[in-house]
Amino acid sequence: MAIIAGVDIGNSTTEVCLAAMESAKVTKFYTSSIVKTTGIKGTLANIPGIVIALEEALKKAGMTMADLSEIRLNEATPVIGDLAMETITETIITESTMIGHNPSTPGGVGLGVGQTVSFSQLESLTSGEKVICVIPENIDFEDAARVLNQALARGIDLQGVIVRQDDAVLIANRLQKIIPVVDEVTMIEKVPIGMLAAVEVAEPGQTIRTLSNPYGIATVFELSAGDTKMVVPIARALIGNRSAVVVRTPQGDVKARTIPAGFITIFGSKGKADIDIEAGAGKIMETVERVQPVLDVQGEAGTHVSGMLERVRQVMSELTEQHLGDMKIQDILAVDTFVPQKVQGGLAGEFALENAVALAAMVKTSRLPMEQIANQLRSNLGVKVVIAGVEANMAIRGALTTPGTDKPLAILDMGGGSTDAAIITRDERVLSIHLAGAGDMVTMLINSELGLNDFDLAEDIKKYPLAKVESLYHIRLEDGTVRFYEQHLPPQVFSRVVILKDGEMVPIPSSHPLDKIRHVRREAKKRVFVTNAIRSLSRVAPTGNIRHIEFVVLVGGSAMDFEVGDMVTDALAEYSIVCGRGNIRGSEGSRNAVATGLVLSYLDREA
Amino acid sequence: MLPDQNKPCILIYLAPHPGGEEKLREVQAGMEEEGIPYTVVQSNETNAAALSYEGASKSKLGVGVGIGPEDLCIHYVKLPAQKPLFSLQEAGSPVQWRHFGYNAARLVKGIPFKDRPSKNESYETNHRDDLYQVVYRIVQKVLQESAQGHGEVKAWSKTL
Repeated sequence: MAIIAGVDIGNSTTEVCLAAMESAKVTKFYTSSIVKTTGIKGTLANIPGIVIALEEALKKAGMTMADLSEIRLNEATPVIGDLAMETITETIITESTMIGHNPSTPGGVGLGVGQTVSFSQLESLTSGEKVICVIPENIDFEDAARVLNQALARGIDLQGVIVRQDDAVLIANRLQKIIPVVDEVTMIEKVPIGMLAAVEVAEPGQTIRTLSNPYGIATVFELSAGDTKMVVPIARALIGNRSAVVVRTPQGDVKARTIPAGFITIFGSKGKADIDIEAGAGKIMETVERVQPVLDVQGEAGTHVSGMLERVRQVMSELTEQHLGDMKIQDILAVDTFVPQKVQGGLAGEFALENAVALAAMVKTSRLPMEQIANQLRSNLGVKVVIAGVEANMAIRGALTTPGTDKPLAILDMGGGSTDAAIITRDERVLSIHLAGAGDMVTMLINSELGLNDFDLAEDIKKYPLAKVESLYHIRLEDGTVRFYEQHLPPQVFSRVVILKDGEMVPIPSSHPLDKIRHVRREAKKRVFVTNAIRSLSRVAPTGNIRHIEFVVLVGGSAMDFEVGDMVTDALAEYSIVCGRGNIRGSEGSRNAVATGLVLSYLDREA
Repeated sequence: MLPDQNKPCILIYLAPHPGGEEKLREVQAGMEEEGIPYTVVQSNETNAAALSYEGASKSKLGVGVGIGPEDLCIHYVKLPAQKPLFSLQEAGSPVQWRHFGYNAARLVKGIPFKDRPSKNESYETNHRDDLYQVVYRIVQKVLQESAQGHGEVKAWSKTL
């Protein structure tokens, strides 16, 4: 009897399958294990991860390294994916022209227009002037209200107030005249004094009307048609706010710069094609499909997209220690997205949504140094190590252990870095394809569209369902069901949207409502996985027509996701394809396909 | 004494003590800023947890704030009496008192609580760069002193 370990090194996880073999059949599958891949797939840095995964599986089976007869490694596909994102519009507001700030409690209501004056200057003003008062930190609300009321009594036409502290309602409640008051302006010292400004606060539950309208701003500041065009980005950034301040400085200037995103040239075996990035993801993908298979992709020199593709090449060449010139991009997946970008010149950390294109690119390297890994592993562990076979073949072999499957069969392997498809025909011919874009791209999209700046949090949002904490004792889940708790929930999660991660609640520190976060999450998954599922299956379909595939088994880490599998199944049902998540060996779910295939391939050698 | 208890509002129970009025003013200001009504009740009890629980049980909104000489609490009627939701076991600063007002109101409104500032901190977020500069200078000074030979471990407390 021989104890065989199949080891699958993936982009994000390393998986092991442990089994006992006798003559020509598997006598028993013992255990499997899964750990995070150490280092980049296909480098010597993988070894620690492999050893940990092996030890884990052996321990569960009550064995040690000495019991192992053979370790079978996959011949990792020499493709590695990378991601890049570039904004193609950018708003720059120089000379501090606006506060698009949205404090939770502004005070008063209405629109006020006047010269900005500092709080200390107020007493020296003469009557009749239209002013907007700027109140710095450490002025008590009662003092502020008293001085403002005195100024009003002297006949000064106070039009609005800008406050540093969270005092707007307190001040507005004490004023004799109803005027708009905006508070929590963190960089109040940057508000220029002696300039024409407009302050607007809407009724509760409403949004501002004048300052979010380019013509409204033009009316307030008496702008020319040319200037009005310039304020469009300001108006756009203020849409949906309950309060806003716009200050006009003489040098004040707004530029909505459209960065020349440039065009990319796709070299395919059916010719080459140029496509402008601004045409959007849809057009880019059409072009890719027209010339596929792709041989290389290049960006127009000196543009952002060229920089972006170069970066991918650079990273890949460093990781694989291969020459930069040999880095050919074999596939790209483009997705339209938007990025909340900090407005340059904003006063309270405002963001504007900028259009962006996210690209996943895949680079084909020369054969990964699997031999080196095998040799190193052999000398470290003193166990026979064999490089067993091509990943796609192994994955199909593993997938066929799913109950209810038979040849011909297609698999869709949705991992972290790439989406792979393979098909096995009745006469055992295997055809496979690797495409750019998978789980990591979804994480990137979630991270940028929600403006999280926290990859781990984005990863959690991708993996786990959401809930809204509605009171100290109950939460409402995504589907509307309510769950009660005996003990009260921690105050940090009160009224927040939380991620339900393994029984704990992780609050999401942003003001996005649950529906928005859920929508972003699901859209990101659809745009990456559904697109890639259809793209990859069309390519491996024997006739080139996706409808001629009958059975598809989903494998790989991302197929385990709580909704991706259903999304793909649903999308493929339109092409009358039977598609579902694999259940490797009837017990492992969609994981462990390659590792299982590696173990099974031991039998071929015996035969 | 208690004419307003039937209208929905947060009840603030105050044990009269020196400095109590200042705390009360900030707590009230916090609630007013958030737009939630309140009523103040004087009491002989001095323990803030007990004060706040009494407020919470009598309040139509189920939220009470207790201001004692040594501590400050926010209580919610559905919580166990001895376990207030928020509690400040020291005199605290005006900014902290204001935050108790905000958060009592936010409990009623059902919106996320404001993070509580620590004792001496006012609005620090915009001073991150200044803070960096201060830390930078201190580190430079310490490094210089130790380079000159008279900086031992105690150099820290000296420079601070």
